[in-house]
Amino acid sequence: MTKDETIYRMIKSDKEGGFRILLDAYQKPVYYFIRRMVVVHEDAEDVMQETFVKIFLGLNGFRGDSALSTWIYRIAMNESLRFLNKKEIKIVSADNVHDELIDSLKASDYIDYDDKMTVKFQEVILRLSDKQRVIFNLRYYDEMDYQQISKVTDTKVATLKVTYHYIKEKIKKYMVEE
Amino acid sequence: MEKNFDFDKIGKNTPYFTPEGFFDEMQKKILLTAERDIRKHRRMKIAVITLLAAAAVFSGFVFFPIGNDIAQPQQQKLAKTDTAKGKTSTVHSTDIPTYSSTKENKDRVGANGELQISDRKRTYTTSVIQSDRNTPNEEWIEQLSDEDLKSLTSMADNDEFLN
Repeated sequence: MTKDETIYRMIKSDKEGGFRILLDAYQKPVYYFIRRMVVVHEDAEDVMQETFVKIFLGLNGFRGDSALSTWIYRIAMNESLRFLNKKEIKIVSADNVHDELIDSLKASDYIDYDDKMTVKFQEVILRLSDKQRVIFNLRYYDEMDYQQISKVTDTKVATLKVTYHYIKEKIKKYMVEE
Repeated sequence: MEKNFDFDKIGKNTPYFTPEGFFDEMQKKILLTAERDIRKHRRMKIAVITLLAAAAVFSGFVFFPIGNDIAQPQQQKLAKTDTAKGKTSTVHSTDIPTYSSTKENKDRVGANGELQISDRKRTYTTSVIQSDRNTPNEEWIEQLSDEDLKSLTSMADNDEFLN
């Protein structure tokens, strides 16, 4: 039995107990997925809280047709994009939002500036569009296969493969240029 | 920078980290918020159900009198129709077909004249009907001889119920 199946069975018999196990299993990966999207720790905290509350409230409706992880990441992705869209409305344009995210990366709490290479790597990733970042982060950091990413993002597997390789080349180019 | 960037050199590392004990605190916070939201949802559900029930009761109050009002004018209309035909009853004329049938009224008039009740007389006053009913008794009394009457009155004198 997989981890997701165990959690799903637990939720069906004891919702709150099952949710605690779900939190233990997914809290960290979901936080870091959100953090890579929104950069600032406090923002990631808010988005993460919103995500897990939605997961908890939606547990009764979850029938197990898709993998639990897919469903959880989909909610996390939607909440992150919603947060960024709200920010975009405040700051007027998407380019400005990306600039602001890069600025936050350069001067924010809970970021290890000693590791210059990883900071730079994140800065390059922040230059990608929101959807490209979602695809790259899910494949590279969360090690999801294309089928799973396809379910999370509602995108065809072939499109994802092409997009991921395009993103990698783009990152390589940026990293070499600067 | 290097000419060929190698992803393996960076690996999965990120510069992001969290305050100490963040995930434990966060778990408590999420559970509290989830419970509060559940209570809020339950309250909302109860409020919606109460509102729907109140709306149902209110609509019952509103539409029931209207339903009765719809029925009453019809009855009044029927009563008016009957009055227009010259009848005092509020019952619809179709409910009493025997009174409107002239054939039946003719049958009611006896051949020997004992029951000479005309349509008009039967419909309007009971006094008229009563006087018509006394006619045979009077005729019988008229036919009695003086002796018979005397014996009858003497019987009446002894009757303890009459006296």
